[in-house]
Order: sequence, then structure tokens, then C-alpha cells
Amino acid sequence: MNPLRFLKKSWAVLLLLILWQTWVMTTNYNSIVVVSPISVAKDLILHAPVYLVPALWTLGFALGGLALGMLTGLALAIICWTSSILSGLLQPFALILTATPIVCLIPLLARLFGYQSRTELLTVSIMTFFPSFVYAAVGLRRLPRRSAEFFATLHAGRFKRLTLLALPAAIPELAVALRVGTAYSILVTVVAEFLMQTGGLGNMFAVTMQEFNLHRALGASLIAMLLSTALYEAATALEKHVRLRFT
Amino acid sequence: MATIQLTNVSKEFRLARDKRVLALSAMDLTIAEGEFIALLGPSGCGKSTILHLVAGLDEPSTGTVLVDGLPPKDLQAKQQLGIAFQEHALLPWRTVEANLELPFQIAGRTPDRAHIAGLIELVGLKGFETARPSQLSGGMRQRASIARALCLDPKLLLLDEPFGALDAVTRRFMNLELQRIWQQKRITTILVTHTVEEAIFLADRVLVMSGRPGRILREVTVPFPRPRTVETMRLEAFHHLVDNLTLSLEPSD
Amino acid sequence: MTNRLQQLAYRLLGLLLLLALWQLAGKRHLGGKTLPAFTDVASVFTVNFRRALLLRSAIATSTSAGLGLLLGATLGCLTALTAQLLPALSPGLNRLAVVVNALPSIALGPVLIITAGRQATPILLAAIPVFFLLYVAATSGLHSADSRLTQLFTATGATRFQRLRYLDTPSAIPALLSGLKLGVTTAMIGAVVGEWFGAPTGLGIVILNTMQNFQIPLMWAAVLVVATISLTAYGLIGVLERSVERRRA
Repeated sequence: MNPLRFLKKSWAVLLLLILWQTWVMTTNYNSIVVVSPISVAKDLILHAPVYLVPALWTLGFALGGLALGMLTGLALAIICWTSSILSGLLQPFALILTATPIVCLIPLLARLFGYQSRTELLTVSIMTFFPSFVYAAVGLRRLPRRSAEFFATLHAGRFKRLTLLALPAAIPELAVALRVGTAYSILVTVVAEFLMQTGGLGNMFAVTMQEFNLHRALGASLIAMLLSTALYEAATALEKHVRLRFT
Repeated sequence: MATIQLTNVSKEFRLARDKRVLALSAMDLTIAEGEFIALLGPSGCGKSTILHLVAGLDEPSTGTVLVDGLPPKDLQAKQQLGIAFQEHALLPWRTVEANLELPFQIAGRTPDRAHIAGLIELVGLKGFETARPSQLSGGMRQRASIARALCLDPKLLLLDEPFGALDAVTRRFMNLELQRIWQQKRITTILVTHTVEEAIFLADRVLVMSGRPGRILREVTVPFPRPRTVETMRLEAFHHLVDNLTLSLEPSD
Repeated sequence: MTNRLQQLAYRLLGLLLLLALWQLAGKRHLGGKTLPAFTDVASVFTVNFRRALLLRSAIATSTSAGLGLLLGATLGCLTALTAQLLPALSPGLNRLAVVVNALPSIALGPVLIITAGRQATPILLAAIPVFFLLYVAATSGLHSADSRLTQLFTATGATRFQRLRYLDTPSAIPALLSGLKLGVTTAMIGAVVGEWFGAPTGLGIVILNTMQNFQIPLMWAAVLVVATISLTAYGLIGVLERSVERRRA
């Protein structure tokens, strides 16, 4: 990688790390409550294999939940696209689901569906369902100009209009939904794991915190941050690519 | 080919609760088989409304529209209607070739590759088969759009200001090209335009319209024999006719 | 007109359907003891001391969320303005925003409790995601001005500040409002999660305590209050958004 380009993109993050390091060095908080980034990095490098399985677990659930949420959102948007009655009936459900802080519902969901990994999956998919539904609903209606009339003159049926026109037209908006969804997916997975202690980085964080192993706990959250950032940047790149290809 | 019959057609649009606008009033029009008609008029004179009624995209408020004695919806169902708009309406995610396959897919037929290749050649887009609309110039997009309108061998071709967004030079060139394409097909065609030269150069018959409510002011049969060329456009009689029609387009008050 | 009325009727019907389904599921014990019927949850609000508790908690949580929203929005907009005025800094600021948003609240919570205090933690945890959302909304909004207008400003010799003041900032307002609308929910989440780490009062505390003490209807009532607050704020910003849109149309 070009070091100059790396610096251009990461100077602010590096600055943040340096500030953290100097803050730890200049204050006299006990090392049990406050640790320096260098000591966290040391633990990450020395004990890398310990982090591997929880990281993969979290990544798997985040991506699985994301896929489930995106598909459900798209499916519901298609249903609304076909019928204005269903669209009207489903609006309140969707609106309430957006405005409800889902993360606050994790304790409830855990009670309803059990303290199991399936609840974890469910939480992430509810969280990512909404952007997918909203953006897909907009995208299915954002057609190239006059293309709807063109389809009408050829007597295109509903199915043809969906598969040949509306769905491909919705792809750029779906890419936006994917980006928005990825921004949440890892974070929500980690919180769910933390609360339900099902496994993954959130569970690792909870357990190591109880053991006052702050280095490892922060190491786990650092990995979660890295995963989240990487996913988000990948989704951003994909969105750019899709936008070029589809408009 | 098709004949078109409009009888006592009017069209009213509702703008708000009790605001209505009469876009067309008591229109009678007959178009013969294989005829090229140009509807000429200022914007908002209802010329596009006629096109939409003939295409079956809209229903008349009163009167009847018949294509070969049947409602336009029947022509739609048989996929015998070709249409091209000013906004090319090509799907941006498809290549030129794939855009021409679209009518076949909508009709549920297997795309006729040889036919598509022939049309691409006819409209002069050979070599651009795999280009996407965003990679083409405005004129090339309109060529692709017209080729797509011709894909299913329609009985009726409707052109809604197809060159309205092009510059004057490209437009004139496209007029020559459209005539060349049309002479090979000889399909009944309605062209909507607000350019006098374009209407006279392309059509057998020009209908001059006035706005609000839309009515036919004049009807002119174009005397120039086909094929018309650049030389035709330089004829004294051509200029004379252009001036004459331009005058009748000007607001009377 | 009739179409809009019809849509409204469908929506009301949808809401009634939602409540009916909830009621039915609760009465049939589909969710065990965890899902009480709607009427059982609603009856919580008729008990005086419970209502007082919920009101007190709601004020605490919405204050934290509101302050967090304000703080996050201010920081997000300032950062976006910086990126707009100094384009060289913008790739770094973009990444910073993404990384800050990726900070897991569960890791930040305990640290903030110790360093910033129990009162400030919910505010800060609410501010972080709002910062990210508003930064993204503001940067895309500041770029949303018609490129021909941008060229006009450049051609007439406007300075970067003038362009920002008279063109970019006004064009960014719709994007900012929709960012703010999404920010409301995330601010509520941030505040509630922040309270879990040991705030003195708040809806997050009510949710946590009732879950541990198995006071299920009260827990649902608290969740309902959270949802109502964010829905109301969401709706209010939505109204503002539409009035701005109408003025610009």
C-alpha cells in the first residue's frame, strides 16, 4: 500500500490513537480501568489465535443477519409494490419498527426467543430489515424516465415489469441499504452477544471484563471495530461500483 | 400496417379538486395505412396527448380511438406497437444489444439475434452493440431507441419528439437517417414535433395544432417526392412551406 | 385527494391490525409470559406510582437523547464543514467518522462511566452514532447543489466561504433533516444503552430492572414509551422536512 495514501486516509484515526496513548500516559488511572492502545495491540499480536474464533463467529452472525434482513426488507417492498392496500397496511408496522430502538428490545427478544444464537440472528436482521425495506421501496419506483410507458405499450404484465424493470432499477438503492445495514450489523451483533452471552466478540468482551482482563476486552472491541470499518468501506466501494454500472 | 380512426375525441385532465383542463376537444382524424403523419404544434397543445391515446396509455374522455377497427389496448396485447420518446427510455443497466432484446423478453419470445443485428446495422450502431446508454451520445441513444421500437415489427410506429433534445446539426442528420429507416419499413407512423422543418421533411401529411383546447388548425399534404434529400431542404418551395406553417403556429393575438 | 385519504385509512387499519394481533397473541399466550396482551401493558399506565416512574424515567432518557442529538449533530455538521472547506482533510475525516461509529458501545460504556461519569455516559453514547449520521448527511448534502450553480458561483468569483454560505449550506438542509430524522432513533438507542452501564435513572434502567425482576408488563410499557418518544420526534422532524420541501418545490 502507498504510505502517503494511507496517511491521507488515516491521519485522523492515527491522531485519535496518539491522543488516547498520551491521555493514558499523563493521567494516573489504574491500569485495570484504563489501558493504552499499545498494550492492547501487544495482546492482539501475542495472542492472535484467541481472537480468531470469536471474530469469525461475530462476522458470520452479522453477515447472516444482514442477508436475512436485506432479503426480508426486499421481499416486503416487493409485496408493497404490487398492492397499494398491502402497502398501506404494512406502513405502520414498518414505521414502528424504525422508530423502535431495536437494541433496547434485545432483552425482550431474548426472553421471547431464548438466550440463543437464533435471537442474535433475529436482532441483526430486524435492525437491517428496515433500511432495506425503505430503500428498496424507493428504488422499485425510481424507474428510468418514460420506461414505465414503454413497458405499457408492450402490454408488459406485472411480473415482467418487476423482473425486467423495477428490480434492476432498485439495485443502486439496495446498495445504499446494504451500506447503511453494514454500519449497524457488527455493532448490533456485538451488543446482542454481550447481553445474551451466546459467543463471539461480544461474549468474549463480557467474559474478559468479568476477569478484569481489560487488554483482551478492548482487543475484542478493537477487532469488532476493524470488522465493522472494513465491512462499511467494502459496502461503500460496492455502492460506487453499482452506481456507475446501473445509471 | 395499420389504419387509425379518431372520432369526436376529447380529453380532459383533472388538475385539482375542481380545476380541469381540456387538452383535446372534438378531434376527428383518419390516418391511412403506411402513412407518415406529423403532429406539429407548440408545447402543451395536446399533440402528445393524441399519441398517448393512440398508444393506449390513456383513455379518451369522450369519443373513440380505433386502430384497425380495434381499441389500442388490443394492439398493445399483440405487441404491434413501437414507440420512441424524447427521453430515450433505454434501460441504463443494459447494453444496446440487451436493450433491443427487451421487447422480445416482455413479449415472452426468444430474441431473434439476426433480426436485432440487422436493426443495429440499419440504425447505424454497428460496433456499439455492447455499449451501455451512458457511453453513447444523444443521437446514438435515439438511434438505439428507434431500433428498439422496430424490434417486434410493429404495425404502428409512434415517435414522441424523438430528436427534441438534440442539437440542430445532429437533428437534421437524424431526420435523414429516420427517413432512410422508414423507407425500408413503410410503417404507419405518427411523429410529434415542434420543429417545422422536421415535420415537413419527414411526413406525408402535417397537422398543425393549436393549444388549449387542442384542435387541428391546418392540414397540409407535403408535395415533395421521396426520397427527400438535403437538396429538398434547400428548395424554394420547401422554405416557403416552412415559413407558411411557422406563421400559422404563431399566436394570433 | 381521495387517494391520500384512502392511504391514510389503510394505515389506520394497519395500526389497528397490529394492535389486534398483539392483543390476540397476548391473550392466547403465544409468547409465554413474556408477551402480555396490549390491554395488560396499557393498564400499567393507570397505576399512579408506575406512571410517575415512567414519566420521570422518560424525562431523564429523552433529556440525555436530546442533548446527545444536539451534541452529535453539532459535531457532525462542524466536521462536515471542515471537510468541505479543506478538501485535503476529507478522506481522513471520512475514515474517522466510520471508525468512531464503529466503536462498540459495550466497550465504550464502562470506560465512559469511569472517565466521564454516570450522567454523561448516555449523552455521549447517544451523540456518537448521531455524529456519524449527520456527518454523512451533511457531506452529501453540501455536495448536492446543482453543479451548474456551483460553476456560476465560481465563475462570478465567489470565495469558498461565500459559496458555502449562500449555496452549499442552504442546499444541504433537506439532507440534514433526513439525517436528523434517522438520528432520533439512534440517539434513543444510545441513551438507553448508556443507561444500562449504571445511570441513576432512565428508561434503560427501568427496562433492565424489570427484566431482572420479571415485571414483564412494566418492561413492555417502558419499551412502548421509548418507541412513542422516538416516533413522535421522528414524526415532528418529518413534518418539518415536508414543509421545507414544499417551500423549495
